[in-house]
Amino acid sequence: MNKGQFFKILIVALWIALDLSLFRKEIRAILAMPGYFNLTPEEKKIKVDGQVYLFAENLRSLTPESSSILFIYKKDGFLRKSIYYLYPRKLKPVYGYDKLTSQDLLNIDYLAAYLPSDPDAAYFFERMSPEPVFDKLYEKDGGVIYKVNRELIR
Amino acid sequence: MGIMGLFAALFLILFAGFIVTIFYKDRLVMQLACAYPLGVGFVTLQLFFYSVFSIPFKLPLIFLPWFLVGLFLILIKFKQISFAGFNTKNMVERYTLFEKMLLFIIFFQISFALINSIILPIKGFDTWVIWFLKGKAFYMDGGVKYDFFLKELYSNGNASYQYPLLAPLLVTLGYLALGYVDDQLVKIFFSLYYVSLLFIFYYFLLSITSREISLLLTAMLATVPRVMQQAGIDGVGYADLPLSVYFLIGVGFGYRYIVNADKKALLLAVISFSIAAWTKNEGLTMLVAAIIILSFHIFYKDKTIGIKTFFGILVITLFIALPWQLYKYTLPELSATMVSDLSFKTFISNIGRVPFILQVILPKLFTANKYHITWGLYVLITIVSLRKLRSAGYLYIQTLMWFQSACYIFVYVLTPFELKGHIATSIDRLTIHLLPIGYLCVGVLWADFTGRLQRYIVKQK
Repeated sequence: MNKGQFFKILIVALWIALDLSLFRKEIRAILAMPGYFNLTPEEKKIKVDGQVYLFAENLRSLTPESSSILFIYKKDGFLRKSIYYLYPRKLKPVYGYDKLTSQDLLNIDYLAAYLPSDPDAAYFFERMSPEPVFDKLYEKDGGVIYKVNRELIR
Repeated sequence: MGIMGLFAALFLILFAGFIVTIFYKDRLVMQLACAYPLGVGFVTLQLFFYSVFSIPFKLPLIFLPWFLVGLFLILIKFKQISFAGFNTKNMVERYTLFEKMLLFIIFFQISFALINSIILPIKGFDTWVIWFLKGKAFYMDGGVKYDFFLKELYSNGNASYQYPLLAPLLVTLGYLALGYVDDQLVKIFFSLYYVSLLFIFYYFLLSITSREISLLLTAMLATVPRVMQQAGIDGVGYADLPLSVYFLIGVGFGYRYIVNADKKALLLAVISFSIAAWTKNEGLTMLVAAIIILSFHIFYKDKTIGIKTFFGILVITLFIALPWQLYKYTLPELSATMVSDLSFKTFISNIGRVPFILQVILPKLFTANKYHITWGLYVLITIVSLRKLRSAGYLYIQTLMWFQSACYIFVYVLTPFELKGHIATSIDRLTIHLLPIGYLCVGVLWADFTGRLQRYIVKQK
C-alpha cells in the first residue's frame, strides 16, 4: 500500500464515520416521505408553519387585497409568516394589546389578533366583542378577526 | 400555466446561460451545468431591467429577447460554437467498485435533494422573511417597485433591505411561469443549484486530476451536512448555496485562465463573479478581490490581453454588478447594518474581538454533524503543501478563499449587533460560500500530493 492509498482509505473511513448523522437524517426523511404524499397543500402548510397558517389564510380570504389590517401579535414568527401570506394587504403590526388606543384604529379596515396560549387573550376578545365598532368575523385557537366600523370610531 | 410553465422557465434559464457557455469548448454536461446558474443570473437581471424601464412582467416579453439573441449568435458566430458533446475519454475505462459506490452516493444525494425539497413548503426563517416574501411581492406588484422598499414592514424590518435581488426574482420568475404562488414547487430552482454545483465541481476536478479523486471529493462535498441543509433539507430557498456556485465557477475558470492562459475561461470567471455580486452582498467583496488579482495576472504575467479586451471585461462586470448598486444607492439609508459602524476608529477599538470571534467560530468548523471532515482535511492538506503556494493557479484559489474569510471576520469585528448571536446565526451560512473553493484547494493539492495533477489544455476556438 503506497502513501496515496493509505491517505485515501483514512480519509474515506473518517468521512463516512463522521457523516453518519447526515445519512441517518436522510433515511428518516425518506421514511417520512410517503406520509407527505397523502397530505393536501393546506395540511403540508399547517405541518410546517403551524396553526398560524390557517389563521393567515382565513384573514386572507376574509379581507380584500387593498385592506389595512391592524395585526396584534406577541411572537415575531407569527407576524412574519402572516406578512408573507397576506401580501399585498397593508399590515400595521402592534406588539400586544395592552397599549392599544383608538388612535391605532384610525384608517384601519380590519383588526386581527393572533395570540395563542395567551391567557389574557380571551378577556381581550370578550372586551372587544360587544363593542359595535367591531364585527367579529372569525375566532379560533387564539386568533380573532374583526371588521372595523370606521364611522363609529370617535 | 402550472407545472409546464415551470419547465418552460427552466428551459429559458438553461437557454439563456447556454448562449454563453456554448462558446466555451467543454463537455456538454459542463456547459449545461454552468448554463443553469449563469442563466438564472441573466434572466433575473433582465427582470430587474424590465422593472426599471417599466416593461411588464409578461412571459412572452421575457422569452422573446433570449430567442432573438440566441438566433443572432447562432447565425453570426456559428463557427465559434463548440459541439464537444460528451467526452468519452473517462467513460471508456471501467468504473471500479469504489468509484461505483461514490457515484451511487452522489446520485443518491442529488435524487434526495430534488425530491425532499419539493415535498414540503418553504421552511427556513430567512427563506420566507427575506427571499420568498420579496419574490411574492414582485410577482403580485408586477415588478420591482421603488415603493416596496419604502415600506419598512416588508423590506427594512428584517434588515434585508439592501440585499441584491437575484434570489427574489428567481422566485418571481417561478410564480410568473406557474401563474400562481406556490413556494413548494419553486423551491426546485434552489435545489437545482446543488445539482449544478456537483457537476461543475466534478468536471473542474476531472480536468486536473484522476476520475477517482474527482468522484471522491465530489461525493464528500455532496454530503457536507450544511450544504445538504440548503440543497434539500430545511434550508432550501436561502441564497448561500447559489452564491457558492457562482464563487466556484469564478474561481474554477479563473484557475483555468491562470494555468492555461485560457481567455474564454477568464470571461466566464468574470461573468460569474459579477453575478455573485448580484446574488448577495458578500459577492461584491469577492468580485473586487478577483478583479484585482486577475488584473494583476493580465498585466504582469499574461501580457497577451490588450487594454481594449480588459476594458471589455470591465464593462461586462459593470453591466451585471452595477445596476443594483446604483439602485440601492437611491434608496433611503438604513439606520443599522452590519457595517454601519465602518470606520478606522471602530475597527481599532473593536480589534480585540478577534480572539473571541475565532474562539466561537473554530469549534463550529470542526463539528462533525455540520462539516464532517471538511475543514480538518482542508487545514491539514494546506499546511502539508505550503510550498505549493508558489504555483500561481493554486495561490489564486487560496488568496480568494482567505480574502473572503477575512472579510467575514472583518464584518464581525465591526458589527453593531450582539456579537455571539450574530456569529451563531450567520457563520454556518457564510462557510457554505467557501466550501466548494476549499474542496477545490483540496483537489489540487491531493492531485499534486499523489503525483496526478494534470495540466488541463483544451484549445478554444
